[in-house]
Amino acid sequence: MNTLLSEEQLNDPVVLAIAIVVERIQKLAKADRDDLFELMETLHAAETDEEYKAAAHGMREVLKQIRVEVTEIKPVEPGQGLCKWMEYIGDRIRQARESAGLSQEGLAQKSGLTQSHVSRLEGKKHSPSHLTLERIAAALEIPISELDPSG
Amino acid sequence: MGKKNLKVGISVGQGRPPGYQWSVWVLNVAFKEAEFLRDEQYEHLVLQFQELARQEDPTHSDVVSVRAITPEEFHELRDKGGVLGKLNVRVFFGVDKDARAIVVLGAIKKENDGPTPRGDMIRMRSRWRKYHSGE
Repeated sequence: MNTLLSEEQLNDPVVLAIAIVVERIQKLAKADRDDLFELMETLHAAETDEEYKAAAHGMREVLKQIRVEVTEIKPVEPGQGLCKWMEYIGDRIRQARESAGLSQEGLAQKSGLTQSHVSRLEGKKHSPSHLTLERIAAALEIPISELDPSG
Repeated sequence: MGKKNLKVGISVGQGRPPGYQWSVWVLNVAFKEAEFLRDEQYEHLVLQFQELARQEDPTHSDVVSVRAITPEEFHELRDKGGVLGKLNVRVFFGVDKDARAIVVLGAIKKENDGPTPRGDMIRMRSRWRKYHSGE
């Protein structure tokens, strides 16, 4: 703590808070300090609540000097909730493809996906991203909402 | 398998599973940030990263939206709809070519398709730097 503060100042919570922040900033590495100052400018210029919160979150994280540790993610076995969705969307893609009179290979060619990817989707082995559904819907010339009602 | 279970019994350095060209690693702070996701949403996003991990170049994909965050040296995976519903999720990751690993830095949710807030990008940049420096 800053020993230049008088006893009276140490009893003032505002002065004390500022002293703590100043001390933390002084201890930051240059790159972290640069990040903090950029975040402060971002906070000042924020025009939306989202931008303000993101900048404030970043400032807290820099000042806290979090440590990063790494964990490996192993391949997942989808649980019941995701399996239910994969079954639904797999069937929807197959039905829409068959209605369009296309083979899996034909859908793959029109959508820019691989036939094996189309096969995995219809086989309920994978959960498609929004980009994938957009490509399939465009290839089948249907709105994406016909495949994914959540959108 | 839910996200809470994934935290158990996993470690770095055991090699890639067969069929994968890259390992997928995640920062502890990114795990905490992903708590807004339900289990099936988390699993869906892990599957998207598995797709990237199968590819020679995980920074470009035909099956999931990935874009470079410039001038930073990391990327953003965007997805929405399906099990994500109205959530517009952005997951940030870097590629450690030496370790042959995709490193997930963090995630945010948005209610719209708008740009990623600058504050989030700076925060991810800071994490990526700390990852490289081993802090």
